[in-house]
Amino acid sequence: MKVLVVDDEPQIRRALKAGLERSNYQVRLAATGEEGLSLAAMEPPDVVILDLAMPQGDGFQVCKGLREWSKVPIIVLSVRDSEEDKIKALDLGADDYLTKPFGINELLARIRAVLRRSAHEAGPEETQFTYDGLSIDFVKRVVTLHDKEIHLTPKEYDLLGYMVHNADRVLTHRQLLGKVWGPEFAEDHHTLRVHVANLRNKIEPQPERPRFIHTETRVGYRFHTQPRGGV
Amino acid sequence: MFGSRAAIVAAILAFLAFDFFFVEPRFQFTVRDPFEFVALCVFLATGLLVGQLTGLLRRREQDAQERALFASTLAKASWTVASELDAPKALTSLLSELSCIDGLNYAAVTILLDESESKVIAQYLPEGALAPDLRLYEDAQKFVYAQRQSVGWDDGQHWEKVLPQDASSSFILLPVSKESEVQGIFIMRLHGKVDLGAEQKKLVEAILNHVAVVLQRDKLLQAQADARALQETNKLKTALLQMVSHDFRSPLASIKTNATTLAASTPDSPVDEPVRKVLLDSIEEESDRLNRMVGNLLDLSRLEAKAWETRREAFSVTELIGVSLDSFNELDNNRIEIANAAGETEVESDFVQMTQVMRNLLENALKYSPTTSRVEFSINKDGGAVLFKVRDHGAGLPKNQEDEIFEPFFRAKEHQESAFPGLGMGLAVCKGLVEVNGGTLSAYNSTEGGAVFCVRLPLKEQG
Repeated sequence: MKVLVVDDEPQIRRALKAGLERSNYQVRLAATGEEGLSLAAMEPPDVVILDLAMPQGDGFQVCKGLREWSKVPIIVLSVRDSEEDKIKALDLGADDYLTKPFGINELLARIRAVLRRSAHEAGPEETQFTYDGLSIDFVKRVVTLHDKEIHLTPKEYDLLGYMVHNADRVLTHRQLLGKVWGPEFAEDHHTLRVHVANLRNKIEPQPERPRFIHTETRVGYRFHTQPRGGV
Repeated sequence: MFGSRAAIVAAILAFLAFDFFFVEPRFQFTVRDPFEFVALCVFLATGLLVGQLTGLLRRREQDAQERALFASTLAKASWTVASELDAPKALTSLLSELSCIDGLNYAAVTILLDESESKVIAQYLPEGALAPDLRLYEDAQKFVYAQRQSVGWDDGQHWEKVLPQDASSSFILLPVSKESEVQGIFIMRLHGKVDLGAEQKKLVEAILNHVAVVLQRDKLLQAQADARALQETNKLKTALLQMVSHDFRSPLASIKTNATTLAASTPDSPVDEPVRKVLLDSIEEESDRLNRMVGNLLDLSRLEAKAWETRREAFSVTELIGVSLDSFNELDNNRIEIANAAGETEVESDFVQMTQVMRNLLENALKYSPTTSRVEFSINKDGGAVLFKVRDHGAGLPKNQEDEIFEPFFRAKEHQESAFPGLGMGLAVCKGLVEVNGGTLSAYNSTEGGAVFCVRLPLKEQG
């Protein structure tokens, strides 16, 4: 698996190279946006790690540029308190984000998650999903928790299904609303919140300590299939 | 009402009546006996004299009363100035003392804002009177400011040129000045073309002096407040620098030591695996700590600048709890017990800031109590608000310092050496964040030991 790391700071490039190579990824490094784009064109990577905090908004340019001709999964690295940047990047086509400083395990988990998704897009749809007592049969449209059937409304089912198909990947409010309700509802955060709350009440053993559906503050939600500590 | 003229008439009438009824020959105005005529004249003279004296006495009494009124008005004015520190209130009270001036149907004090606009800061308007449109008198006010002269006060002033023509009332504008600086303008409107008497002018001047004192004092109080604010800012800056140099060096030192220890590992003299793990875990922990401190530092600098922007949105209590707990590892999470009696109740505030507050409070609770003890996080509805309580079973808050803990950089004396840095900033930031979101943060010691922190947030408005 090839990883392209685009970051203007040498220590970060070094650190990521060491961490990723240890997990048997092939790593290519770029220090500027321009370099990143040309490397991506010459040697198409399987996933791109992109620092948003590069000078002159380079990070966003790369994102935009890449998306013009590539569907390669992009994970952006952001800093604290920059929700607007994260949302902007996600809207420009990035697949997920990670806030600095982060542990290498978190990054590896995110990479695995986005690679899983792109693999799914290429291959056949899953018919079943099981994790930690929660089981979904996509053919029969049945959801069970510890073998007990849970009744979900159609919208709740669609919401859960979409999240599960993108497990461990962040989904923005806009994406969730657009997919489940339609593009005209992209700003109706309240409806989404209410449905997520209802869903949590139905499938989470303890809604205040969600195991499955995690809130990504101001950005959206993420369905976790990694136990705590691994993400 | 009667005056000395009445006294004269009364004396003459008495003289005539006495002559008519009592002096021979009766019922006639002639007098037979010359002595009796002299007596009558003396009688008249006495009557006239007494009348005049009485009139004089009466005038004196009137003067005395006026002076007494003047004195009591001044006394009241001085009292107002001394006791009322709020300038507009003091000025309004001073202006109302002028109500004893006949014909006065409006009085005001204005100040000039940046060269062009004037603002009324106090006024007196008797019942039934209409306030004048002072915009018509802008030029007059500018004139008074520029020339430091009064308008309509002294005779012979060319005030007709400056004031709009209005036959039904006359205006008087006086500069309010202390030490040759005009601080404001005093405006009076009198009914018709009235002339103020000398006593009344004295009263006005006395009130004016008091007005000047009030305006001057207000300026000084403002300067004092500004100086104090500046002092606070400087104090914070100094404390911040001290904190950065001390608190940041501490985790950095341990990271460096651990890293160099690991780096010094050679095949001949390796670092044992368990030790390696400890050192590496410590490096990770200290990095996290540094990261939190950086965050706190940013928040604290915003606290100082009072530069928090809140992005209000509605979110459920459940969601707030969920995200707040997310940042704690498994061990810590297991120590936190949740009792949510508010269900999915929605509050309206800045989600990021409120999760930060909850995390901070939970972190403190975990740190300041034994690792075997629980931390209780309970949520209840309370009237139009939601009450969040974080309760620990540790040593509790320092006695008698329950309110001080929210001051920036407070450190309880026992924790001076700070095995737990960051508390100093954390609570001040939390309080600031909660308050800017329309809530309150308080703390007290539980009767069963341990500290309780309460956050009250307003419910989302229905509608």
